[in-house]
Amino acid sequence: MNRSHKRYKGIWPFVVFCGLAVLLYISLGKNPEHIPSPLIGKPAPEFTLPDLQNRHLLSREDMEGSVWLLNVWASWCVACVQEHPLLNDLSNNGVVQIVGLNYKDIRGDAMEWLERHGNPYSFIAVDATGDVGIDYGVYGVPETFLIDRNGHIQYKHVGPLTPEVISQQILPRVNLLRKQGSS
Amino acid sequence: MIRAIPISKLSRILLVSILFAPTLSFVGFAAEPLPELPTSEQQRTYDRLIRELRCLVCKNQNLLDSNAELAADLRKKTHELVIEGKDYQEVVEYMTDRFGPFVMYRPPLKISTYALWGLPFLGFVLVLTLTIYRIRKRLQIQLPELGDNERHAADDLLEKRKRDSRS
Repeated sequence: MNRSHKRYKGIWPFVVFCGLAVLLYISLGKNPEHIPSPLIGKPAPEFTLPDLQNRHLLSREDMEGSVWLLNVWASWCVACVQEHPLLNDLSNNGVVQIVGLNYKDIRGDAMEWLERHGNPYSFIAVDATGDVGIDYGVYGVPETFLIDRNGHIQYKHVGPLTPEVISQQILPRVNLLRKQGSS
Repeated sequence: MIRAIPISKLSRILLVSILFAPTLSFVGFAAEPLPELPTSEQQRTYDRLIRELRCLVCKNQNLLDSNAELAADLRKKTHELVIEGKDYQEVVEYMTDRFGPFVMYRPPLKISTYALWGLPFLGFVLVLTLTIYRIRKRLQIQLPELGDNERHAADDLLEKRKRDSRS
């Protein structure tokens, strides 16, 4: 009995190795850029900001009653160019209203950039200092927030949107939130 | 009259300046004119905060070390909050409410992080007990007591060996 006990002793390093391998393999599949936002399920932070033409003031309450996307962008942001056609499509097809948060940008540059790449935004709020960005926990432009009729943040995506994110994460939620609101 | 500097001394000066060049340029980057805080208490809180808060763009740097624009903005924000009279804990809450617990360099001790903090200690204790157990077991191994016949046989063998080596 003692002998068979001894024979299996050598297996322990192997078991530990397998455990570590599994753990590391699982972690390998995770995206280190993804940091869960504490804002999900909470009211979207208030803001009152001028629009791009500097004619009106915009605030979060202006959007109350509709499901909308808040897209944080800037003309200096390289990845914003990448996701922009997707936002144009969403807007052109009337899927969902998109509000732009022009983050730490220069007005002239922003307008020029929109002329070149198209303007999917119903409104554009200008956050020149980045203070509203801090309230929304923005750390990597572009970022996109999905906000429900009551002004609560339901989903956040950091980095450029992809067709998969839109079809698998955003659209199902938009449809669900619309249904919940109308019933 | 110009006194020549010996080559060995010259090369040493050169070497030292090369070694220190990166630190000099780094100091140049990090220096950023944020005004001194009104009280030394506030200055201490601020200094502590920018060491404890993480720059989320560069992840492995705190606000003090990072040159990223976001880090500069967050330093400014921290500065403002401290001037407003917020203490250490209130600024930490302000940041974690917006960026999540990841913004803290050291994860807080709470139920969801017990495993994170506890496992290293648990592992250490486990390895320590196993090691002590094995060492003690090894010390306990004793040679079996020889019987009379066995002792005689052993003596004979030793005796025989002695004789063989002499001849």
